[in-house]
Formats: sequence, C-alpha cells, structure tokens
Amino acid sequence: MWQLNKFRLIAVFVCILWQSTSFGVEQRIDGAGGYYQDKVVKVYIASLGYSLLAKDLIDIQGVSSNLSFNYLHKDIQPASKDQTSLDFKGRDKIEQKSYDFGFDQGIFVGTDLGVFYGWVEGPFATSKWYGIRANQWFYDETIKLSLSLRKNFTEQESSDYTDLDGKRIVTPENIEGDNITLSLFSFLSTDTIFMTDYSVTKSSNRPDVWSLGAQIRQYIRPFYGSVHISQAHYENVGVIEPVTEYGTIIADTTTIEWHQKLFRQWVLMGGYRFFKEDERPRANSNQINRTGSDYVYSSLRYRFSKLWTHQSSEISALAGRYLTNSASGGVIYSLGGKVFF
Amino acid sequence: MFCSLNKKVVKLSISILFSLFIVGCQHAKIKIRKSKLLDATMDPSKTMSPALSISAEPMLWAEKANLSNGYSALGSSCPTCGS
Repeated sequence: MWQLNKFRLIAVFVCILWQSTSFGVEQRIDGAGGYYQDKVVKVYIASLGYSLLAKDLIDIQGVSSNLSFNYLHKDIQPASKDQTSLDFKGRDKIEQKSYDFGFDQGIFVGTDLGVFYGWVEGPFATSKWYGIRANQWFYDETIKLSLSLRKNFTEQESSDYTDLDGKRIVTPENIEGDNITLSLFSFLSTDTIFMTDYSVTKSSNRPDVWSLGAQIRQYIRPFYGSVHISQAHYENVGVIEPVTEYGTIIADTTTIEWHQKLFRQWVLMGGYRFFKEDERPRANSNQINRTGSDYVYSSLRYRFSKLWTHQSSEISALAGRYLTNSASGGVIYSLGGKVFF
Repeated sequence: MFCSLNKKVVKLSISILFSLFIVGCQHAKIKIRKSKLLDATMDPSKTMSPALSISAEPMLWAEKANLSNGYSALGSSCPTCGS
C-alpha cells in the first residue's frame, strides 16, 4: 500500500518536472548529508528536496504556484555493540524514511492556499498526515497571517509492560490526532522581523498539547550581520492514561544565532540552543525528571551569486556539539547545498 | 474540538497573538516590497540551509517535547506525529 502510493506520487512529480520545461518556472533542488554520534547512538542522515515555482500556471498577474517534495533518510545504530540503554529489539540498526509533498496556489495577490501530505516509515511505526494551509499578506506584504490544519495517523507496535506502580501499560496500535497552527510574520521595520506561532495538538492517547513560540531577527547595519533570538514554550499536561510510555511534559527552548556576512559571498553563522524539559511520570506525579541540553553549532555558507537580494545556489557546512545533563552528549557534522535553475 | 484545554491559557495566548498583530500593523508603514527590504542574513528563505535543517534531527530521541513534532524511530510512543 505504502509502496504503491510512494511510486505513484514520485511518478506524478517526474511528469510535472518534465512538463515544466515548457513553462517559465524556477526550480530548486537541495540536499544534505550528516553524521551524529553520542554515547548511545550514531546516526547517518540524508535529505533531498525539490521545489518548483511557476508564475504562469493560472492567468492572474502577481500570483504563483509552488510544488514541493522533501525526503529524509535516517540510519540509527547503537554507538557500540554492548550498548543497551536503547531498545533496538534485536536489530543491528533502525532505518527511518520520511516523505513530504506540498502544493500551494496563489489565488489573489498576497493570498495562497495549499495542501500537504506526508508519511514516515520505520520498523516499529508508520505515521502519515495530511492537511490544508493558507497564507494572507497585509499592508504592502509586510504582515502575513498563516493557518494550518492537519490530521495525523500512526500505526505502531503495541507495547505491554508493568509500570513502577504495578499498573499495566498497553500502548495502542493506532493513534489519531489533529493539529491547528496559527502563525504571524511581520516586518516591524526595514531591519527587523518578528514571527510568532501558536499551536494546539489533540491526540487519542495523550493530553492536548499547546505551544507558543516567538522569534525576532534584527539586522545590525554596522556589522553587516543579523541576530536571531527565539523562545518557545510547550505544555503537554493533563490526565495520563495507561496507554502511553511517558508522563506530562512542560518544556522551554531558547535559541540565539548570529549570521555574519563575510567578504562578498560568504555567511558565517554561530548558534546556541538551550532546552529544558520537566516530565512528571504517571506512576509518581510527585517526581520530576528534568532533561536539559546545550547545543552549540556553527555553519559556513558560500553563495554563488553576488546579488544578496536574490535567491542563490549555495553550499554549506555545519559542525555542532550537543550536551545533556544525562550521560549522553555528542557531535554532529553536515554538508549540504542547493541549486536554483 | 479542543474544549478540554485550559481556557485561560487559550485566551491569554490568543490575546498575545492579537496584540502582536496590532503592533505589527502600526509599524507596517513600509511601502517597499519585502524582497527589497531584506538582507540575506535575515530572510528565512535564505538563512535556512539544508545542512542546518538536518542538524537538529538526530538528538530528538532524547527530547520528548520534540517528538510531538516528528516521530520516534526508536519505538517510543509519539503523541501526534507529522510535520
């Protein structure tokens, strides 16, 4: 079933790509490869993306059509052969493949409507989702409101075990849920961008989730660089039924990045992310399990075009160090690039 | 659909979003199109490189809050999945 859907969708994309040579379109292909290792796992990651932007598909001046496809492959292995802290259920490695398709159509100047569909395949579970989204620009395209509605479905292997309080935990084979996300994007000035989003997620096996995030990006003219600061709060609290493997969660994430232009075509970026998560287990709500992590990373990008106002093909490299308050902490390296044609 | 949520939290969050929207409107007296405004170090479409976008993927298994935006290949239950 999944294989059939996958090949049908890819065939449709190949046909569109072939047909698009007769329209005036802008296409982009991007890809990246990465490697991560800590004391528990080592992960090989690869991604491939394609997007097609057509301005003449429908006869309305100033609107465009956008088609996109993204693929992500993860290969997860134990960091060492005697590693037992993660359950690989007798497997040497775990492969996970993710596919995502989207189509957005401008219907008026500043108004887009879109649909999306995707799925993730793994050895223990398969998830799929679909939804609709809409974008509306206001005030000379300086403020954008976005709305996304999504349905989620998961099929997974059921787990059956006895918890610390003696209660039997049986996780369901099928999980369903909904998500609604409202986002705002605003140019507060020529040098300042503000973004915020609010999201609610309902799931058949967990309490409702809500999250609120905000980000500000400020260009600092004397330095020809920008600072990006973001904060996100996440709450998944309520009654935890014996159908899920972890308790209530409250988490906060803070990120700060500096993006610096160098010479005429280089961008150096340095970033820091702090994550804190408090879990109250179902079996003992007086206990708090705190997870904290620090992630420091840096990337270097080379743009092939000297025109900074235009999209440009580029290549990039990234290195990062990830540390947690548990015994685990690792390093990540990745290389990537994108081509416009 | 989400009636079981804490209503105060929802109201507060929507109020914040609406307030920010009004603030944004008041500052939006910019007549130049956005493509002319942005520096490449600010523009979201130009700062998200493929190498950066995959860099957060591997460590998510350790952070349960982030599982809700993705999916755990390691067999943990996932509250929502997708995205």
